[in-house]
Amino acid sequence: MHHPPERPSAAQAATPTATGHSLSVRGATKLYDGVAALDNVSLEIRRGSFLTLLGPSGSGKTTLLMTIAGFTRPDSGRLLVDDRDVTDLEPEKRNFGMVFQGYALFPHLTVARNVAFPLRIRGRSRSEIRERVQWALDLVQLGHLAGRYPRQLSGGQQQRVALARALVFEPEVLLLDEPLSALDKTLRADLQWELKDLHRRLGMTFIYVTHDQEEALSMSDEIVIIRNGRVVQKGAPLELYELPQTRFVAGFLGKSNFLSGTVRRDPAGRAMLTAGSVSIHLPDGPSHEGDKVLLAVRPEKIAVAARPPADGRNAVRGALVDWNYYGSTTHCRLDTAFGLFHAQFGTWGSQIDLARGRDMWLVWPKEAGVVVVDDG
Amino acid sequence: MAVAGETVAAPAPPRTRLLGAERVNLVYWALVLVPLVVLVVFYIYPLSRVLLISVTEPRLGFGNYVRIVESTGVRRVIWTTTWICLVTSTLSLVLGYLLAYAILHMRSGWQTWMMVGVLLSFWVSILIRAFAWITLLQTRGLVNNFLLDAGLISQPLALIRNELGVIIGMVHYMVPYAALPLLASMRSIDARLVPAARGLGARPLQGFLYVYLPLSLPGIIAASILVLIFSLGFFVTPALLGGGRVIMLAEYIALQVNETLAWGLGTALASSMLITVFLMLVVLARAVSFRRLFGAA
Ligand SMILES: Nc1ncnc2c1ncn2[C@@H]1O[C@H](COP(=O)(O)OP(=O)(O)OP(=O)(O)O)[C@@H](O)[C@H]1O
Ligand SMILES: [Mg+2]
Repeated sequence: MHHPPERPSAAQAATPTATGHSLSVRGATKLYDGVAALDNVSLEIRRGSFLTLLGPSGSGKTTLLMTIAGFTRPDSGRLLVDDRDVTDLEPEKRNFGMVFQGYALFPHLTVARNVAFPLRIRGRSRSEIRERVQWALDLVQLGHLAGRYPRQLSGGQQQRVALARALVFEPEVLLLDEPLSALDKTLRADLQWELKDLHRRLGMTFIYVTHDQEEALSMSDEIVIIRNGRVVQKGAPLELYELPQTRFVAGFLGKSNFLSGTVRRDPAGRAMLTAGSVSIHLPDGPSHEGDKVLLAVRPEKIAVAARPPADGRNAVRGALVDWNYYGSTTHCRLDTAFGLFHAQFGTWGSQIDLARGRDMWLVWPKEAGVVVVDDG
Repeated sequence: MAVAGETVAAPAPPRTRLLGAERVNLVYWALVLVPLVVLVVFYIYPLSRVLLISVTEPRLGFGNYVRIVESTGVRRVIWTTTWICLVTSTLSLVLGYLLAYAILHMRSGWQTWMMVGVLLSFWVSILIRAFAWITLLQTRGLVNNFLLDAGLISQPLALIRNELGVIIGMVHYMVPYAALPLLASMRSIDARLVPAARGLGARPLQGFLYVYLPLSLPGIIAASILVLIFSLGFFVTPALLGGGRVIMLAEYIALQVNETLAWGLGTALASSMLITVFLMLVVLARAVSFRRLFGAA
């Protein structure tokens, strides 16, 4: 491949710059026909971080992103970039890069001219435009397709052009609305790595919208879970996955089994969840006897065994309904006193004989459970 | 090698299929021939007669075409026609563009009513419209009376019996013809592109100029050629609203044929016009393939 001589600005741009800006959304509310698409949303986004907005369809992710971008005016609330109030700024003056869902490439312009667009608008010099476009296209490894039209590209290539176009003018913040949702699984996985790598190299602040929970978990520094226009919980992926605060989060981000019952004390004074004749040890933490309590347990933290454990771990008896083999893992469904239970274990090395209707034991240490608020 | 072998091994199509194909061929030719005959009898024959007369009346040769170029009277008519057509087309295009843009960006309830409004205008005959404009624009017409009563003018304005009147009448007629192809072309523009441009730093006007306008260009080309071709052939509107003072080509040809009986010159003018229009259509055909170029994104 042909490499153009390194020029100062290109070299400077290629180095990690950590030029990201911090962003803060304060009490943003947006009503559509009296229904809140955003309901008093407040967020602090650290400079250079990769923040993901995650939520089910219609939860207000796009509305929030569009509010940040300036296309949607909030009914109330403020938006600050590095303590500068930009709430009333036109979208074109915010200097945010945006990758729309479906890419929104200009069909009448070639790849190079699409990428050059933000620079032409800013009246940059011809030579600078050429350099920057080359840099951006090399960044997404599309230098060889500069002369093509968008319709001559594959979905993944179009996505990368959209990315290059959003990056080329070194925006303060990059907003991405489900950029990978239209792609097939393999390509999506590839581009996830690429995006993450880009983020690390450029040091920009990324705000990323998705409703794919695995994508959110694997890419983000911080995840914000949105439901009905409200922030339900936010935190690092690990924190959110391990310590969900509500039933919704526990069920939306990964899978969970839910056990509801009343708090009781065993003779040793330890907190138990009791439902009917079954008792389960609760994880350590404050609890009051007689309270209603909801426990969430991840399927992969549950072991499936033929016999009850002897070491005092929690155990629930259930009849095997059926199972799915996924290659690396196997998922079982068992009918228990708490309803249908999901358990998941690595297939390799597993010693269990699976047979429909067979009685088995679901076993987990008490630390594996999380007490969550039942928000329906 | 393997591919060639496979080709040889492929079974011949069964005979019944072949017979079926022959029958289809017959239907095909019948369907082609009937319109062909109609076309020859009603269009191509008369048209070739027109062409023939233009080079045989009053004597053999291109004398009539030479007269078109040489006669100052004819040149003035051509100039008037060109000028009025260009002004009409430009105005119709601008108004049609605004109309189409407005329709497309209305709330859907309004969209329907505006479309009905545009389509309704096709039902009103050109003659009735010309008379309607006369009642509105004449010396003692609605417009002048209103302006006089309001004290805005002291003398009635000359709104008809001149080029202004002809242009008003023609533009009024042509705007829907401009709006419809534009509407079709604008409809195919992805609504997110202008916001995308703004997200990349374009001001609203820049977004329009750099994204929307180029994407609607195929529609603009199609509409302008359609309108230009239509306006070249206007007869009733200039005759009525021009009050005999603004002679356009169609009226002039009619004059040659009906009054002065100069069939040679009339047909030569008609043929020249036909060729001009034909050339425009060639450009139009290119514009349409243009559209396909853009639409496929
Ligand atoms: N322009 C609008 N007019 C009226 N209601 C709207 C508008 N835009 C969004 N809404 C409503 O606001 C709510 C949030 O919409 P939004 O597009 O933000 O959801 P989302 O989280 O992006 O969903 P998805 O994952 O399906 O893209 C929805 O109930 C939607 O119907
Ligand atoms: Mg959305």
